[in-house]
Amino acid sequence: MQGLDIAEAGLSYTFRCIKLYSGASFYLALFFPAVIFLWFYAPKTFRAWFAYPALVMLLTIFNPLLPVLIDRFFDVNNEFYRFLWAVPVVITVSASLTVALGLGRTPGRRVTVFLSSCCFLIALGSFVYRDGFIPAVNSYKIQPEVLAVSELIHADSDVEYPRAICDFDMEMEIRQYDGKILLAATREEYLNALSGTEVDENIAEKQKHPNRILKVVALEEELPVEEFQESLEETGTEYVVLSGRSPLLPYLERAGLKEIGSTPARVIYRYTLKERTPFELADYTDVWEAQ
Amino acid sequence: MRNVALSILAVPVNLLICFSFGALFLRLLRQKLSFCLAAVLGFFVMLIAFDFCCLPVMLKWRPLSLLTVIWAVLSAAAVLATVFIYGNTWKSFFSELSEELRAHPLPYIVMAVLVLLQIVIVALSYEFTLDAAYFVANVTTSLTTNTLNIYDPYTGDWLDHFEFRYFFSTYPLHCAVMCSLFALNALSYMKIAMSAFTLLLSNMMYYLIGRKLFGEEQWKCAAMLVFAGLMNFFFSSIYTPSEFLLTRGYEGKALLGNVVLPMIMYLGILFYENTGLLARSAMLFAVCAGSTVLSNSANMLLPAAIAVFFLPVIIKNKSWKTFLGCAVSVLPNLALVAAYVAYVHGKFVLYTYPR
Repeated sequence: MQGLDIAEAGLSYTFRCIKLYSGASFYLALFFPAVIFLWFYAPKTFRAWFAYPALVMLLTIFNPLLPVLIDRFFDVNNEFYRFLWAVPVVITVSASLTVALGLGRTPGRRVTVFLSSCCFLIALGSFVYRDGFIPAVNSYKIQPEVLAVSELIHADSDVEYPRAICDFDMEMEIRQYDGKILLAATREEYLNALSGTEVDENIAEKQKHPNRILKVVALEEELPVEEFQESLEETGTEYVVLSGRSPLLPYLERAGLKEIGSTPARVIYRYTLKERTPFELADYTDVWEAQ
Repeated sequence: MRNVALSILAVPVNLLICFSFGALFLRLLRQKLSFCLAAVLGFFVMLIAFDFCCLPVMLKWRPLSLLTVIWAVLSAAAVLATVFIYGNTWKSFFSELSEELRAHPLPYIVMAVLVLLQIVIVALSYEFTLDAAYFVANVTTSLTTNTLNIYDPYTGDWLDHFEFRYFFSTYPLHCAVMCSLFALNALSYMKIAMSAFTLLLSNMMYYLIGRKLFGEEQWKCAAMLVFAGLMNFFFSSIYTPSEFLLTRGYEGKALLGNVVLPMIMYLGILFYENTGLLARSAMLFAVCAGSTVLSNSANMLLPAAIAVFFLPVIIKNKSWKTFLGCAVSVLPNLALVAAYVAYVHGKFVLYTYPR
């Protein structure tokens, strides 16, 4: 979980994890009250279905000792919150509200309970589109810029699989749309560069060239031009896609890259590789025949 | 327009295939055919069947197109087999179904409108998530290269060995196969069709649990679905299953949180009846084994969830058969955890070329 470490947090990990997990919504806090409500107001069979598993959850998932114990054997820092998925919050709370609805003896009372339950849920929740609903503008459900950038690169390139490096948003989306554009850095390399995460020495050596390119593209550092060019050559990167407002555009031109086109928000530059080995798909025909 | 139309068409086709696998499985277990149970259970049986088809093809470095042919034949065979095996039962099945709908039209209309509304909202929204850079790009890469997990989805580079973390989680490859069958791009299929399908399965789970809780009171099932739907839209942080359901329903993890875990709870409820334990254990096994195909996280989460929901059943019913059923069911998950640990410690590597 972001910024949370079991070894550091110790017994408070579970509580901090629950706080992060819930965000601005109070639904997880409704789980045990809902179970207690069902115990008293629902048919007796519900007790075994809801209360007993809730008791086991209280002793396990909600037990502050559990993450500390598991952490001794496995690194579950990033995944521990998924144990909270086993808590059937949505099912239990909605079932208890339905039982409450059934307690209303007249249709008028039921309507009142229904509407007040909806208001209650809305008041205690955090809307998924709280930052605004962004409508998809095409059937790919992707920024139209991705389609335009892909088209411009393929129109300019004389190889089937050109390699590029892009600004973060474009880098994360372009290969979802176009598998024929290769990228110079992986998602992890990109994220590590942005967050300044240090990696093992051997890995750092292996990632030397992608990291240099990312220093320029992601961190907007102006490296010596020769170093940047060397890394473009070593990774076979021909295209650099950046925001049209990037302060690096003059630097790219100084490094010998040429603008080949632009979209409303981005500029695409091409670097002419001195030595180029076009990417080809591995041919398994001989292997299949031998099989 | 073509992409949208094909994505919409993919939802009922997926449902039909799942229903067929589920119906065959229920027949094998000598259980009564129920539409929702067959569809949800069939989803897991289908994933297991797909894994059995996919793994040998992948291990022999054969192309996606071959897997597509195999899967098309098997799916068609499952649908045809269901039609023939159930034979005369279809008439009574559909008449019971229509009777049920005619007896309680309003709750069913409310439920249908509710699910449709959720699907439309999700289908029309744009979401940017980092995980799509793996899941969707993996499908796109498989389609572009006509291979199975041989190229890195992030960069497109050739991999010299299979990434074991995703080796048994062949769900993205199932999506690639379906894209091939529909001649559809990965983005539209995953972000429209699979997001809608996950919502559909998730609501079917709420319905199944609602029916178990409230019996023939359909209006209560409808009310529960309304509350659950509302809660999903308001239970939002980057970690909750509701957020996964609405913003990245095409990921295996979204199915894990919103279909697999409710299914475990549902089966837990069924086990309290202490009857038909063998059939129900087989269902539990199918869910556990099927979940391994969805996400690696299932291997850690399912044993924990089964302990939570089944420990009280085992104690209350004093049933060693239930214990045995649970223990056998989590074996696939535990075996894959062990295999993954062995892989991480360098005990073996699965190469993408002959050595």
